[in-house]
Amino acid sequence: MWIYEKKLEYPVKITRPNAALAKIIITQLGGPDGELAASLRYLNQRYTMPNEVAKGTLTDIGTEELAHMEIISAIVYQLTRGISIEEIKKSGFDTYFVDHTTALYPIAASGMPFTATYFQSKGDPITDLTEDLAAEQKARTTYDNILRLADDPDVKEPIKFLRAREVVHFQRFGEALRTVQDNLNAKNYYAFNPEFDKAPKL
Amino acid sequence: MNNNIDMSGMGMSGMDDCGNMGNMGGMGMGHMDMGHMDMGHMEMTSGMKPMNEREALLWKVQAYEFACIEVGLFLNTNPNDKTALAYFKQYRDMKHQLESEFTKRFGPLTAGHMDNDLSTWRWIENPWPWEIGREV
Repeated sequence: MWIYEKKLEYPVKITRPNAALAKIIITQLGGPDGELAASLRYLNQRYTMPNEVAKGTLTDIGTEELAHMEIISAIVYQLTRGISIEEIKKSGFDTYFVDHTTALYPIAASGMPFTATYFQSKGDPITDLTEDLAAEQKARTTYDNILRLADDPDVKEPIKFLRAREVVHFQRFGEALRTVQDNLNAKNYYAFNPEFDKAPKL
Repeated sequence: MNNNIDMSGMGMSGMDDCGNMGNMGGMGMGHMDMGHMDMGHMEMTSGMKPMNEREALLWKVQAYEFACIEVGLFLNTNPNDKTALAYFKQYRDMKHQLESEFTKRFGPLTAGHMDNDLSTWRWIENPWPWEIGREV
């Protein structure tokens, strides 16, 4: 279960609306390397994990990604709060506005709606944790790119926080993967799948 | 109670690889370098907008919560690290204390908190977390 805490993991307080920037940053809500995909990836992968470290790490990082989704949503919300029709037209936000007004809807910056095909839940811990390592790096690169495109410090500060979290999560997933690899059977030359196969007897 | 968050001085074993405790990945929350921040005398540097009392107290709760999140993740993969366990306990206790204070003064962060005064139902009161700033 989950219990809602009525606060963000990192504060968001934006004073200058900027719909063009909102249109870019929304990609971390519903895009291929966004926070929704991250949380669903980890929270779905965790059930069949073979050890406590992997189960705990996926649960807690998957939960933290939900908090990151909320930070991104707060940024997009505040960037489009109170904007005029003129600004909407000029910024290119009109193509989003026509379908969603200023409500939050998970899409990529390109307009592609969120899809579960952004992630896998493969049922092999080495496969899944390796995907998770890549996912953290891809999200970090996306935040690097957002930092190149954004110039408002009110926006950049929470984005820098989120970028730094990707680096830490990468580290923790690396350690979780190591615990799985260290516990593979020594006679398992062909890397059986500890989420499915029984360990061969030594 | 040590009121100073000083991650760099913890000397946690195994915590000096890239992307972890030495660098805390976001521990320098915005313009406030948590590594040197005296939580009792929160310093507002140039990039920070002025905060009202509610926001200032919430900021501290967020900082302590973050310390727990970060060390909790570390403990998942390093469950026997005594220094990290002591650190988690210290910041958990500080967080609980401030959550109580915040709940009594400004309403609940979780509806079930023991300090949530149930003479009225304050849970739904504005501001919600995404609303901090202009309109509230």
